[in-house]
Amino acid sequence: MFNLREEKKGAAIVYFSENSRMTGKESERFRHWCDDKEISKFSCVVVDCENLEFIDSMGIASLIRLYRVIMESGGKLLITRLSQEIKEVLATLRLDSLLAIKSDDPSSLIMDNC
Amino acid sequence: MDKKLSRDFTIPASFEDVDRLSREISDEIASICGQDVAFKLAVCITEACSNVIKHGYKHDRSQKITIRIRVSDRTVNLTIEDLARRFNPLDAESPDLSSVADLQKGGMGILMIRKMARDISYERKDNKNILTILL
Repeated sequence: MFNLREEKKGAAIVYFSENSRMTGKESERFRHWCDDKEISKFSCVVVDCENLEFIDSMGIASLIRLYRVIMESGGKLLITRLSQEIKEVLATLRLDSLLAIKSDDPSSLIMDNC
Repeated sequence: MDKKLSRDFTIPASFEDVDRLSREISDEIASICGQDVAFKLAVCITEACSNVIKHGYKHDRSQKITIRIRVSDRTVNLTIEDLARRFNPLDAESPDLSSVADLQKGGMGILMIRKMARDISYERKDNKNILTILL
């Protein structure tokens, strides 16, 4: 369900398989997956949410944890191509001011920001 | 007001079953009420049932949750019932949205329901926890 592509040295794109839902146990798997991939070793991570269909509070907590892990190692996290509904949920929780939410193609974001 | 849809489900208290139901029912609701309402309903089902699984049934998958959905012209009425010990999710304190650490502690689920619902109420009746959410 989760995939990682190192776009250039130190910069990675995390992306989801089609029709993904980050809820319950899947959120827990995502946290373990991030640890297994040693995500903090990347100085720049773009999470491409084009295929993320649904997220619940546990999924959002996993994104916040990812944000913390990357920030603590001095890196940068960008989240892009969220559905309108998920964007609104994050805005409702005021997380749009915490997380860098974009709408651009992930490869372009890497080129411009990393 | 004419009823457009009425559905009752009793499912095992597991995250997988809740997610399956929320996905299936939101597809049906989307065709009646639109994607926005369907998404809100899916969030409310997922968050309310997750609270029951975690805090009420303590992850005991042999327990059951009953979900009732009534859709009228412009209103979705969602009821979640369980037989766990008394647990009123509305008593939970909302997390501090400005604190990353606080957001990770919990309480975000009920906050999401509060933000999406037009009304929400809890009652304890016949040894059941009954949470009613109006969208």
